Amino acid sequence: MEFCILSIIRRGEAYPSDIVEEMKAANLHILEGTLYPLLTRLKNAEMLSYRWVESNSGPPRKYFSLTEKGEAFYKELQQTLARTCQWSKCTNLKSPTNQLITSTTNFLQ
Amino acid sequence: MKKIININLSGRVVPIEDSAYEKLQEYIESLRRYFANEEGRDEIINDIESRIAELMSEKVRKGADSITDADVNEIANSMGRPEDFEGEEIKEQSYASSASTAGSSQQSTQSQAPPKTKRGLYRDTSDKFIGGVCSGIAAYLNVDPAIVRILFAIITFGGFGLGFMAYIILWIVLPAKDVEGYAGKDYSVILKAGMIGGVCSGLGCLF
Repeated sequence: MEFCILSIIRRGEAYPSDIVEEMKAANLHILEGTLYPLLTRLKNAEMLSYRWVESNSGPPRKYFSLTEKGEAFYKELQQTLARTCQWSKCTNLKSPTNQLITSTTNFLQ
Repeated sequence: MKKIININLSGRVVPIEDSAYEKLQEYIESLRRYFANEEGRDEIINDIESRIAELMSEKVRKGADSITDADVNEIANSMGRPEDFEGEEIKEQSYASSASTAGSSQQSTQSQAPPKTKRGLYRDTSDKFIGGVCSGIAAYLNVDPAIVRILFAIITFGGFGLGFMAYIILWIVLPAKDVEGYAGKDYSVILKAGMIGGVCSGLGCLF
């Protein structure tokens, strides 16, 4: 999960509900209520930073972006995933974790 | 006939039916309870509130006179209710632990809160080599199952079958519990293989 979120944010500043939409498009379902705590956790771990962006309707929105530490964490996760992927050869599609890895890999391509 | 009130939700004024307002309050209160132990709970709640406000004003902009019960339900469903989070959290944690046993990323993935399982001695059938006795004891003592397994192995080989007897007795006596629930089977395979892989990569680090 973190990996998917980080990889979306890595490509540019992101608004939480856009992240949910993107993940849905990649067939990964996450509830917004689960995403916010994750983002806050990652932010408190200094992996993410945010800035307020004025929106044309109502109060400003929070846009998240990756910090250097987040970038390092992302690379580390990527390696771990690659290793797990090698091990499982991504063949056993019945396993949810594998499914997640496979769809993440597809998603990144 | 329903009373409509105006509320200020994160800086937006939203017209809402009073029964819907009560529902909304109940929902936010349940979230607050759910995140009570979370470090950045106020921030999380604020973020969620402003997202709810955004969804609501979108509805109003599209022509709704006020927010109804059905609207609140719809929003709560799309944001997720505390009951829904439970399942997602489990998925997420097993995923995180499979990642960390597979080799690297020691610091970051483990910074998450430990899984909330009920205390009490049991056999963990989702993480077992023989009967899950060791991992059950490990969960009770809050230590790594590998430590308990090694200790048990030492007792078994050095204690003239004492450990073996103790294991069999515990196996019979302790109740079984599948900690990972519905996702257990699949993840345990991953976890075990990760454990084997983790030993190798751990040894690999030495050279």
